[in-house]
Amino acid sequence: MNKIEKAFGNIKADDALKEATFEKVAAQMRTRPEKSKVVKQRKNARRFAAVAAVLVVALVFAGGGYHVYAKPVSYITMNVNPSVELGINRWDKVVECTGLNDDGSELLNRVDVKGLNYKNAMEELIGDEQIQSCINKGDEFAFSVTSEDDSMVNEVESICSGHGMKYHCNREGNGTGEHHGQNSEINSNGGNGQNGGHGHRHGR
Amino acid sequence: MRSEEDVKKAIYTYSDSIKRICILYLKSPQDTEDIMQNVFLKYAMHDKPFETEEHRKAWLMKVAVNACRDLLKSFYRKKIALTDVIPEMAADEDSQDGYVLEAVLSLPAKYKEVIYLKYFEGYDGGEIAQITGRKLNSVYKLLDRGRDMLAQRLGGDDLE
Repeated sequence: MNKIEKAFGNIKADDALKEATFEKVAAQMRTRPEKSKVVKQRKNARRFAAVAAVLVVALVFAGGGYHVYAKPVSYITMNVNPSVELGINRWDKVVECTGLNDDGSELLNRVDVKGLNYKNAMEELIGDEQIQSCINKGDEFAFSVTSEDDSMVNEVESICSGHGMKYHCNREGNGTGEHHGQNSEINSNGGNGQNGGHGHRHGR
Repeated sequence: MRSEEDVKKAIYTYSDSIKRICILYLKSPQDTEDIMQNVFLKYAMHDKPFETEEHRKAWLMKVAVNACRDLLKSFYRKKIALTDVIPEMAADEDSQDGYVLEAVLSLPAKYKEVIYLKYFEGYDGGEIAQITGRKLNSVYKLLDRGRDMLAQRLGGDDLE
């Protein structure tokens, strides 16, 4: 042992000092607000999401401007008596909503679905009183899905069956062609669908 | 924030080392207590895990060194008799230890830090550089000069 080790070796913290230190530190720890890891992670996640969202919007604008966002590439038509058509953009958001008859227009006035993800939009519309009473009466819903997205028609069907609706769902090829106009064609077979035109599926 | 268990364990394991750092800078007993609380509270609030016990100890020492330096900077401290701060010394008047202690403590801060860390704690140059926040070369130079100065004060005895 060198001299310094010997000289300093006698210096120790006695038990009283250790206890006192712990008591004081613990007291201060208890009064501090606990910024738990989870809170921090959530805060960071929110911040990240906000930044990411801004970047996405910026990219969209950079990538072709507002009209890329606002351009519908898919359509979902619901016919039960209120008849509505939703135009959906490439990010699955409703960018157009059209009433195909008076009841349809009124429905869209009551329930604003623009900007929503199409699944949420459907939920919102289905939640409307008038639609609910159609479901309860057992009316049959006719849906038409025009989209390149293969999963969209499945999503629509699962929403329908989830609400106990009587429905059938038609898929029309892809969305680049013309879409339904004002004369509400129920169950239109007009599309030159890639899956052989008809493709009826019946629910319930 | 670390658990109270964790903090308690750290206090019981490392208080001796932290107290010695405080004495190195010759704090009054009151200051020693304050600095110890300061150091362990910082430990409590430090969430990053330590890879080894050595890592934990070195971190604590670094915080203690900085806390002591800060206190030194803040205002002039009165000189206090060693026996006030280290009661064990009063009992053992014949021993050489008192002289060695006084000699080390009388060195300027930058020398006594490195001398203490090397000869008491046994850290190597790289570890001392981390704890004191200095460059490796500076540490070696300080050790050399520190040893010379100590040798002069202790009358040419060598340290072993």
